[in-house]
Amino acid sequence: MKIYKLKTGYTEFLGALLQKGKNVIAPRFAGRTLLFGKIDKAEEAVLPEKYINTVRSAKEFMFPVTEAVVEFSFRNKDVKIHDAHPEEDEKLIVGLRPCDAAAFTITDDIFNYEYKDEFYLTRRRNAALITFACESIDEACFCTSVGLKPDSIQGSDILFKKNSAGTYIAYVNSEKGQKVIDSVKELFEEVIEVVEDIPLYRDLENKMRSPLDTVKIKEWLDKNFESPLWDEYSSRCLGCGSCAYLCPTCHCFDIVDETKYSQGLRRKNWDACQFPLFTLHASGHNPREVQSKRYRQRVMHKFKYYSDRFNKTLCTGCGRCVRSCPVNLDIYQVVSELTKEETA
Amino acid sequence: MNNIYKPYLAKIDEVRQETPDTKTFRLSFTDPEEAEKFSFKAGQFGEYSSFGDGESTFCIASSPTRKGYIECSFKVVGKVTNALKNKDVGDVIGFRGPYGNSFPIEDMRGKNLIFVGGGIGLAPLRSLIWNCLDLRQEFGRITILYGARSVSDLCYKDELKEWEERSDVDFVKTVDPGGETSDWDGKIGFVPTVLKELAPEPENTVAITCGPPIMIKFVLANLSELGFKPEQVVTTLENRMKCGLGKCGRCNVGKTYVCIDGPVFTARELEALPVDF
Amino acid sequence: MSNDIKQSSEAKKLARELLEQGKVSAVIGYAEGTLKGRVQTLIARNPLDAEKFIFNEYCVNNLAVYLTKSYRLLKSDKPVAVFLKPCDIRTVTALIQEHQIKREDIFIIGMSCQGVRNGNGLSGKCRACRMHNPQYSDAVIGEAIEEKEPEVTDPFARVKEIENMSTQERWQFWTKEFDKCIRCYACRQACPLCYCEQCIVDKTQPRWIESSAHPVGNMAWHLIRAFHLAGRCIGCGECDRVCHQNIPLSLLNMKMSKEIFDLYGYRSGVDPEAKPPLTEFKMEDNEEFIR
Repeated sequence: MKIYKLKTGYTEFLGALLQKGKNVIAPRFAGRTLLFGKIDKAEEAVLPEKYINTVRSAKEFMFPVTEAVVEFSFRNKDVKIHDAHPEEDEKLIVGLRPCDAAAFTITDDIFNYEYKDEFYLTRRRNAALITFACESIDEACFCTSVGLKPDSIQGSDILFKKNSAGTYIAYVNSEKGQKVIDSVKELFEEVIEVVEDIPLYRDLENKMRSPLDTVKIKEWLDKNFESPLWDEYSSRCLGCGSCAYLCPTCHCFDIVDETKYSQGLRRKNWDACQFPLFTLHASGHNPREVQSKRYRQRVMHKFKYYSDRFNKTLCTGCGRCVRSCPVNLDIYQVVSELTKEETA
Repeated sequence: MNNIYKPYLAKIDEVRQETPDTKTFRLSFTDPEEAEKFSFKAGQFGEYSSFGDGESTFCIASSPTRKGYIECSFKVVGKVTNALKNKDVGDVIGFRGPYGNSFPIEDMRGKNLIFVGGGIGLAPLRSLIWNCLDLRQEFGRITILYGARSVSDLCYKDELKEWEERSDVDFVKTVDPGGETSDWDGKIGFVPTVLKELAPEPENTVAITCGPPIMIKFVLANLSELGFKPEQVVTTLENRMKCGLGKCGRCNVGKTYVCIDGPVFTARELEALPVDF
Repeated sequence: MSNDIKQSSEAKKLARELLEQGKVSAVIGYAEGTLKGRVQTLIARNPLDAEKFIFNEYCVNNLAVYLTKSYRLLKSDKPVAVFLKPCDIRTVTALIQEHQIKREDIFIIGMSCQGVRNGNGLSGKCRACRMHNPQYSDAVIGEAIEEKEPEVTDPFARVKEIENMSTQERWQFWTKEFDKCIRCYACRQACPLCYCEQCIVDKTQPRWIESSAHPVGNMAWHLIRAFHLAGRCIGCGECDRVCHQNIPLSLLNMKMSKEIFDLYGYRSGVDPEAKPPLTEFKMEDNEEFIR
């Protein structure tokens, strides 16, 4: 793993990538909303020191909010189907935070086991994740609870950290990352000596909400599928999909057909376990007919089921669900309070 | 690219009206190469689609021993089944599958089998029943208990007659009280109650059941009362599914995805699942 | 600030008393949140929980949403008490007008209000607010506030700006905004007047609105949502507040409110005796729009 010093600033780095004809995706404002998007001019991108995180995670670049998976046409008894293809161009996703890069290492498991979802996997192969360590956090952040840090490299192809002189140091974490550096080599200078441990990141780590005990949480969840607390917490929940849709690791989806005249598309759309229709059987039976059961599913899936199956917690502590919840139903608070309760 | 969401095209060769709201399709793949390669096991399911309306999950209702076609039975309830109901012989629909695990037929060899079905829940059992009947000598006694709300709600009526007439099958049919007709020659009573009267011997027997959730609940309880151990009882779940591939999250029950870890579970395995189905 | 503390302690006391005396089955109010400038909902069922109630400038949520979203709360033989700001009380009025709740099932704890904050500044709805003192309440918390001219005198000022755009500009404006929508339905779930048992967007036979978050689906969803709230929206601004994509949803609702006001002189949720204009026919109804 090589380490480089970036001789310029962020904007110049993006500018150089654009000049090389790269497809750069970075945080920029869409109206008043900070979202990842394609950058045409380096100046459109918001500087990493100016934001904590984007409103939406980068998951939509592997798993779009809606995408066609099959195309079809029909005329009387004649039906034709075609594969829909994910876009195959290379993308550089720049300026994402360590929590968002790590998220892909978690969702890779679900899209890449047994049946392989090539829509996700093709995009994943073609995207380089160029992460910038956090320079600030807020009260919603809790990545240290799930084994991450403001400067974790997990999942990143390159991680940029600022040294105490304010210079960006690039830690290359994959061949894909090395290629990106090589493409704009003139901006970088290889660093041979040991790089200092930067106090900023340790400060942020210490300022964060105290780490959750995920082992203890799981133990509690193992025993408390039935608990009156599910009712109590979920009674505040309005049942919207904000938490799931903004979550970098939530990956549930729906499949729907849409047609215009004799042509149509089969689409894969984001969906959320918080909606009653998610589990409604055609017969009318609904295993999760009330919000308490749906809320329980969300917490269980994140902190128990996914780790039972893939040995990973389905959460990166990015805090988006906490920030976006209309009623401030805070998953960090919920799971930390749950574990304080005596197990049944 | 290997597109896991792309269905096979399947032509409807035959349509049978089972009950006023249930139909059976016999399907064959339009591509002979795909048809050649295709194989499945009893208990597996698929995603059937009417293009433009969407996909719906049904089991494969025919036996793997009957080659060259698959059958599915569905009740008309939602958007997709309403569209499928209007399809006719020669129409083309989509099929993805086979998905999921299957009935543990290897473990059933040499044993007595009791099938307990209710309504359209007979469909997955039918696949296994014919599978076993086509290999009749490999199994012990075969008992089939089948019931529906009313006489007109009984599916596969011709086949019921065939089973009734076979000497190597003990066949018992029943309808819920009030569902009988004047010429009904079967029993009158709920499936779990009739099962209790029938009192099959648990010794060297496997019970396989499928039907509405409430029926399964009581059948499981009654089998246990009759001395069946949870390992001897097999059922198949029908959670709502979309992808069938263990991805979309809809059929997630505990760490299990019903679509790939199921749909077939023993009663022992069900005990270990959270009550979320 | 001291006003906050006073109102909070009065609220705690009243909630405790109501629960102790068994006058209500639950009290829905605000409690300290986990983020700066945010409060949580607290649904207290026993007097001890009442200690956690607060009221301050961050109590922006319209708690009336729980009256239609949590049916179980209302199924008790006792009323449910709710903290409602003067503007929130309009929701209850509208829900009564639409026969969704009965007045006797709700114990309104009216909070006199100087305006609340949404994030950094005064909430948009408060800038044009002329309702600082709760009406129709069973109990009032806080002192009477002198009604004064609001900062923004024309609540429809922003709507008029949009109206003055060219058709093309307007189309571009909304296309750009709806492009951000990911169909999380927070706008629907936070809306106290979106109470349909089955939302039209979830209907599949036929599918009126495509569920995909593409331009066609998004445009259809937001326009139909606005139409469904025409003459009903009470302007609590919750849809705006909960939209993390910052789509100015309440502008659409305000436009509908303006149309309804211009046509029928009606404002939703103001008069419990008034009939919503879209539910009744009058000979003198303006019918210029029928051509």
